[in-house]
Amino acid sequence: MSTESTTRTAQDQSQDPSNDQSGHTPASAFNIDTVEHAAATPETELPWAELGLKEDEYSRIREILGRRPTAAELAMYSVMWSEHCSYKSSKVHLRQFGDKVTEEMTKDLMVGIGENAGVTNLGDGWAVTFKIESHNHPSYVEPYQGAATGIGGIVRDIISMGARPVAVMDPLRFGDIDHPDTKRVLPGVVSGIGGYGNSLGLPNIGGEVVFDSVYQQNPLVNALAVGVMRHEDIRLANASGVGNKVVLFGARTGGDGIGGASVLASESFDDTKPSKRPAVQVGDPFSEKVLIECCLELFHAELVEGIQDLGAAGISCATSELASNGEGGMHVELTDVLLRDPSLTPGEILMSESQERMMAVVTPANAEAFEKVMAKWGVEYSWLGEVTDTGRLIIEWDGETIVDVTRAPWPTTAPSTSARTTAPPGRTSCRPTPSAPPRRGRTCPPPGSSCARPWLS
Amino acid sequence: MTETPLIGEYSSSPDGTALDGARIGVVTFPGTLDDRDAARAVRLGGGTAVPLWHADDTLSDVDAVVIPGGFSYGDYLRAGAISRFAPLMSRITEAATADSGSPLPVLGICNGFQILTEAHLLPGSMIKNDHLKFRCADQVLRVENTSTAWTSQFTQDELITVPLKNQDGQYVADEDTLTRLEGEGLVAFRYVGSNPNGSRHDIAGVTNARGNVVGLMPHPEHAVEAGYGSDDSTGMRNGTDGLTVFTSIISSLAGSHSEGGAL
Repeated sequence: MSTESTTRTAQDQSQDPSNDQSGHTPASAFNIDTVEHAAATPETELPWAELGLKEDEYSRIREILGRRPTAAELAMYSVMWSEHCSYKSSKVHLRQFGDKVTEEMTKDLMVGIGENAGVTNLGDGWAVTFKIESHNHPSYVEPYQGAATGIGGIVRDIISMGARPVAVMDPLRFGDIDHPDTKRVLPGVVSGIGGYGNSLGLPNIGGEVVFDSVYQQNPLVNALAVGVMRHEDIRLANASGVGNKVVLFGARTGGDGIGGASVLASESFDDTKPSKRPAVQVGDPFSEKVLIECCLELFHAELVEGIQDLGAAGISCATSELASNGEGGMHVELTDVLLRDPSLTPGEILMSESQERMMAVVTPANAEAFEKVMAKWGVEYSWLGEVTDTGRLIIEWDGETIVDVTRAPWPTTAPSTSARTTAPPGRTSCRPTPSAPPRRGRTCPPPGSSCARPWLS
Repeated sequence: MTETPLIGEYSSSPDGTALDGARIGVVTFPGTLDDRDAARAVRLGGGTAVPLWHADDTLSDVDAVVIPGGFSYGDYLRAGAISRFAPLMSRITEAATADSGSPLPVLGICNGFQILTEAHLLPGSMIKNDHLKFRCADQVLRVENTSTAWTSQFTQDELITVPLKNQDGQYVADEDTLTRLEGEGLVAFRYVGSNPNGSRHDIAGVTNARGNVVGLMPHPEHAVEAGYGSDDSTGMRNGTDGLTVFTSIISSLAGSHSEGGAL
C-alpha cells in the first residue's frame, strides 16, 4: 500500500484524543484507505499474501468487488476466508454431516447447522444446546489463555442461542506423554479450561485424553459447552428490521489476537505504536459471567431482535453474520467502537479478537430499556449503526466508507482447497473405511491414554 | 416445589407456603454463581427466597440473609475485598451488629464467608489452598456449635457431608484469635478426615459470639435434594445434610417470633 497516495489530510490535527470518549486516536493519525480511493487506485499493492490469502483468492476478491479491496476489506476477507472461519479445507469433510443425516437423526433437532449452536428437544418444553469447538493453535502457543478463551467462545455461542450455560467438557489430544513440550502444554490447557469454566460456575463434567506423537506441536484442544433453555427462549442471530440499531457491548476492543493484522501496520504513520501484538487472546471470566446474566436478562425482557457473539475475526465476523442472516444490510460507524488501545487502526479493530464482547440488534423503541440493563450490570456498550435495506454491509470510519460489500454470507463464498493428507506411521489410512468402525489411535492405546487420570487436574 | 427459573428473578411466589412467612434474602453480586442454588435451598428448607441486589440500599424487610458463593467482583486479587464496600453490605453489617435483641442472621458460604471476613463480621481470613490447586470433592464436617441461628437443628458433633469447591479456602487467623475461637466455642464447622486446604485448626466455618453470623467454605446449599447432593450410604448424590442449615434458620426465626424477638 502506497503511503503517500492514501494519506488523509483534511483532519484537524489539534484534536485531543483524550477528549474522545471512545478512546480513538484522531483519524488523521491513520492512512484511511476508502472505497473511493481503492476504486481510483486499482494498481496499489496490498499485502494479501502476508495476510494468508492465496493469489487465486485475492483475484476472487477483486472479482467479487469489481475493484481492489480497501485495506479494511482485505483484513476482513483474510480472516473470514481463513481456515478458522470458513473451514475451506475441511468443509468437504464437514459436509457429510449435512449429507448423511436421516429423518430419524433429526426428529428432535430444533436448530441445526448454520446457527451459533445446535438445539435438541428434551421434551416437556425443555431444550438443550451444545457447542464444541477446537482452540488448538492458541492453546499450543499459550496453553492457559488459549484453552480458557476456547471456553469463553463456546459459552458465548450458548448464550447467543438464549440458553443458560450449565457445564463444559474437554476431549483433548496431546503429543507423546514423555515429551517435554507435552509437559509445557498440558497443565496450562487443563487449568485454563477448568479455571475459566469454574469462574462462570460451569463444572467440567467429563472429557477424554489421548497421547500420541502425531499431536506433537499440534495438540487438539476441543471444548464443549452445554446450555439449557425453554423452547420459547430459543434465539437466532439475524439483523432483521430496517432502522433497528446495532450495538456492541461487553469488554472494550483491544489488540488481542490480531497478530496477523500486523502487516497492516503500514496503515499507521506512527512507528512507535505497539505493532507486535499478542496473537493469543486473553480471557476475563468475570466479564463473561456478567455478559451471561446481562444477555439472559435482555432475552427475558425481549429487548433484542438478534444477537451474535464476537469470536474469531471479531467485528468483521459479527457484522457479516448478523447481516447475512437477516434480510437487509447493515451500516456501521467504526469510530464508535470503544477501545482499550487507542492506537488501533480500522483494520485492526475489525480483526481484533478481544474476548467477552457481543453484538446485538435492538429496535429504537427498546434502546432505553437496553441501556438500563447495561447500567444494572455495569457493562459498557456503544451504538455502532443500524440495519438498512441496501443489502450491503457498509462500514465507515469517521463518515468515510472503508468497507462496502454485499451481505452475501462471506465464509460460504470462500474457495475450497483440498488439504494434503498423510497417514501417520503405523496406520493405513486417515479415513475410516466404510466397512470398519473408525479406529481411534492405535489398536493398543498409547501409554497414559487409558488409565485413571486425576493427576491431570 | 416451584422450579428455579433459569432466567430472570428466582423469588418464589408471594403467596407461597413459607413456614411462618420467613423471608430469607439471597444476595447477588455481579459474579455470584450459587444464588439460584441458595434460593432453592431456602425454599426446600421452608422459607421464601427474596433476591437482594448488591447495589440495593435496602434489605427489603428480610428476616435473614444468605451471601452465596461465586466470584463477586471477579476476585482476581483478594476474594471479597471489593464486595464489602457494596451498599447492601453496609445495610447487612448494620443489621447484623445491631444492639437489638434479634440481630439479623447472616450466612456466608464460600465467597460469602470471604466477604464476611473482609467486612469484619467474622474473624480470620482465607488464603490460597496450601496445595495451590482448585479442589472439588465431598467433604466431611463436624458441627461443633449448635447454638447458632444456622446450626440449631444439628446435634452436637454431628458429622455431615457436603461439597467443597474452592481454590482460596485456607482459613487463617492469628494465634490469639484462634485461641479465642476455640475457647469460646466459636468454631461452627471443622474438617474431619484430611484437611483439604491447610486451614488452621482444621476450621471449615466459624460463628460470631452472638451466633447470628456464620460463615463456612463448604457448600451446604449443594446438598439439599436427593439426586443432586453429596454421595452417601444410600446412593450417589443422595446426601441432603446441607438442608439442616436452612431448616435451622427457619426454626430459629419461628422461635424468635414466638418468643417475642429473642433469637
